[in-house]
Amino acid sequence: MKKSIVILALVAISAVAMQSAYGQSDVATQSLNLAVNAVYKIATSGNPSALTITTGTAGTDALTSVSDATSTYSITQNYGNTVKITANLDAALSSGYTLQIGLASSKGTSAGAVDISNATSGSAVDVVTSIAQGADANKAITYTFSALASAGMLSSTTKTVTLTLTN
Amino acid sequence: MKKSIVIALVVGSVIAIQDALSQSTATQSVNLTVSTVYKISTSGNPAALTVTTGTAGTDALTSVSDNSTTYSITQNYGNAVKITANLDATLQSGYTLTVNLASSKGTSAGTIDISNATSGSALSAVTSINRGADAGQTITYTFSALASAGMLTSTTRTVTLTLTN
Repeated sequence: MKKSIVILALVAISAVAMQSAYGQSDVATQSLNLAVNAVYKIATSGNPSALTITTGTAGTDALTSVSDATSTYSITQNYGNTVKITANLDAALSSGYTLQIGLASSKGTSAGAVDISNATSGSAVDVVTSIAQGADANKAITYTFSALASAGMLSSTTKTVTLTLTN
Repeated sequence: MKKSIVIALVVGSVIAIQDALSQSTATQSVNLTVSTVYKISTSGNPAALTVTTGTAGTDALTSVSDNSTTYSITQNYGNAVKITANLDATLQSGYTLTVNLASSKGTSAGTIDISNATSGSALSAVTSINRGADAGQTITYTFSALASAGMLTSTTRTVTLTLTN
């Protein structure tokens, strides 16, 4: 009889204790949908200085080339590690004039100085390849403009260089 | 004459008994209890948080936020009650989810990073909540990502808000 009373009492106490424990909190939940889309961003610091050939060497058809490394580019991409940058002009240069571009890179592999004289939108050339995910800021862009004396003078003309960050 | 007096005494006793009966009372014992009450609920789920853009040269993509949902609480336990927050599973490195719970009955912890907070490591979002109710308080989520972490296909996380002492 006594044993039964003790057991019942313990059970009752346990039940009260459990009720108290359950009563000490309440929860609410929310379901969140998270996503990160593909992001490709490229920008330049501005335009390079004018590239004007002014001299040459007597007896040499190739005039003295000029370069500019005052501008930079920055990129951010989260797509993958096979992203690249291509370059092209809005219109090809006349024969005898050459424009090269070189893009430095710490996240990818620079192709070095690439001739873009005849690269237009349909024939853009790779200038940086195998770019890893992340950001690469303020990397130098180097232009080198050269001409043959036999090509004659070139009055000031503007070309638009397009750098494309793509996969 | 004496007989009349005795009758009068009997009548007086009857009246006295009647008076005593009319003053009878009854009592009841009423047992009153208010148990501990903790209640928390939300208005629903926030909109999808999708990172879509960034700035060239910056690894941190442009974060996105949602403050379209609210929470409400009622508690009578005391003035040291708090709300904790946690996820059902941590986020991968490079992704960050923060939550901010406004409060008029307690002290908001401000914006807290719950990216790695799971059930065993829930973080306090509001503390020192006074007894009573606090309705329609804003929940603000902010999701950010690094470009170097890559893309994230649509994934669902459950956020648990716990009102506890």
